[in-house]
Amino acid sequence: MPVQKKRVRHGRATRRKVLSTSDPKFQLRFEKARRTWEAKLLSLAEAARSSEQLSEHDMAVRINARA
Amino acid sequence: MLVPEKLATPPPRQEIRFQAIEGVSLASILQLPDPHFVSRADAHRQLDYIDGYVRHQALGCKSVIVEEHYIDRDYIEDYSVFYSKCLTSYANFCRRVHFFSLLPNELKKELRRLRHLRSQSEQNSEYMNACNMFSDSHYIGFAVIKPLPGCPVGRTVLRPLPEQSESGHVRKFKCVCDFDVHTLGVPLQVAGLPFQQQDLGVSACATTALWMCLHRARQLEGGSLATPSQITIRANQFTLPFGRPMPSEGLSLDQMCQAVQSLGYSPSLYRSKMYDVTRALLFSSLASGFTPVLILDSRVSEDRHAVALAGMAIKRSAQNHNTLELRHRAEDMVGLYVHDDRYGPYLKATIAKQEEKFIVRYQLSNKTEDWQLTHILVPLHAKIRLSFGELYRAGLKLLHSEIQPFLQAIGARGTTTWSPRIFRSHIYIDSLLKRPGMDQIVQRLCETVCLSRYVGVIRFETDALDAFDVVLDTTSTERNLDCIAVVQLGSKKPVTSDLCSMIAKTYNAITIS
Repeated sequence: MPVQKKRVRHGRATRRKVLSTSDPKFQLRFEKARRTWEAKLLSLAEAARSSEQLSEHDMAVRINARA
Repeated sequence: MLVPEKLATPPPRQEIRFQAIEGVSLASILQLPDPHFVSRADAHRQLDYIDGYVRHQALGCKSVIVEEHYIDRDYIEDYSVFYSKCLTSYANFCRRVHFFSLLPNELKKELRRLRHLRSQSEQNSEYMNACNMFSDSHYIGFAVIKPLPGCPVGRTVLRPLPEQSESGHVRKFKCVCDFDVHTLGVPLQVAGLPFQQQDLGVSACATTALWMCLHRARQLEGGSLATPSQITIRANQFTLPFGRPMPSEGLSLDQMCQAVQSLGYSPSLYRSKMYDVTRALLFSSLASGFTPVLILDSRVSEDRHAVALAGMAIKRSAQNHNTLELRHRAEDMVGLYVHDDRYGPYLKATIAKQEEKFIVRYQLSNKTEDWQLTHILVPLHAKIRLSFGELYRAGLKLLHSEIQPFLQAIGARGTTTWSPRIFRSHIYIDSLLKRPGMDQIVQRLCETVCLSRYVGVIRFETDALDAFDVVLDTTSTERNLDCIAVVQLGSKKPVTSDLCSMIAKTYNAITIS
């Protein structure tokens, strides 16, 4: 009877799949996601910017609550 | 004889009283006189609040020590500027009340033991450790009682309530200051944010809120403390929009900024426009240990009010793991601990969103008070040029340009949590060392990166990656913002180093992993 060869696995299951950020497919997905997230977070960035723009009226209000 | 006998006054005599507080109010112990034209309830509201606070189950005050003659720097300065010029003579000294969680006999015994230990212990550290242990276990803090019948509560430093609350949230008090106190020959310690009530002579709410908040700013950098009268004088140095500076008629935001600037700090100012952004800015300030002053607008009258924030209540909420989401750590903030000079220290307030308005709600025993937050004023060290608003925007930029697209491109799921903060660089290093297994990373960071005095740190956490920090130079400004380092806080998820390297390459920073 022919001897059955044992199949030997060389640890492929545990090896890390190397991520290449320069891979064109990754780049395509990345750029698409970037546009989506930029649009999502735009209103927060604008609100944060306008919260630092104060008018003369803001500065002149009297603060004087009494006990 | 140098002084004629008729003019000579004997030196003041100290008198110390131990008193159990069970069944007797603080006002009775102090035998305070009633004010003539203000109701007793109004004049003693803050004192009664403090009385109730120290008796809280978690603090368990059982006795007080009253020092009958105490010179308080803030009061004697106010006295010099204002009260010494009244027709009626006010004393130039105060009383000081110390609160302890021991009965008077136990307390006397413990203080005697500590004094005895001083002569017995060869090492100074042994004695100091014993005193510190005593303070940690039994000392709740102190209140200065001014000789002013209408506003008796002066500088008061009380320990905040413990971190774990009965209702399940966590109390965070990063804005407290350390105080060394001496009574009966024993050195004691307490950490708290100072409080005092407004007197409407030298200070109204705006001055008092600044006074509280500047204590914390001073803790970070040292330097001299500003008294209420100094703050009011500096605020009114160049403009008098509301007439005379004293008796205090209140301050404008402009005057508050003038006072902060003239005392050596930079006033960083924000207007509350969008609830989420306001909450994020408050969180960042409190988590960084910078006490913000809140400007509040009454919802029922024309009043504007200023209070100082001492801490926040945090409650972790469930996170979504099925889709790629984003949340600021501020979403966990469910309440604030407010130093309100009309009521008392560490007053719990809940926060609510009404349209985009940020509502601060006091749940008082007999009523609910709603205030709308309009402005936030944070005194910062002059070298912190990067504001919390700019740090927030830098975080958003990293999220939409790098982090979230990267996670989406690799097919990751889950919520990315982010929190921007500003630290003294050595405090940041120390916080890293508190995490297990970080000593190598800290060594690499210290050996390769030059850190600015204060660093902006944006932490990103998600299930798909190890947590990592993006460290920014706070001496730079938004247009020329410099990223100093990207610090990887774990090594379990290798894809993290791909993202960290990508960020470091884009922003010309050093990766530490």
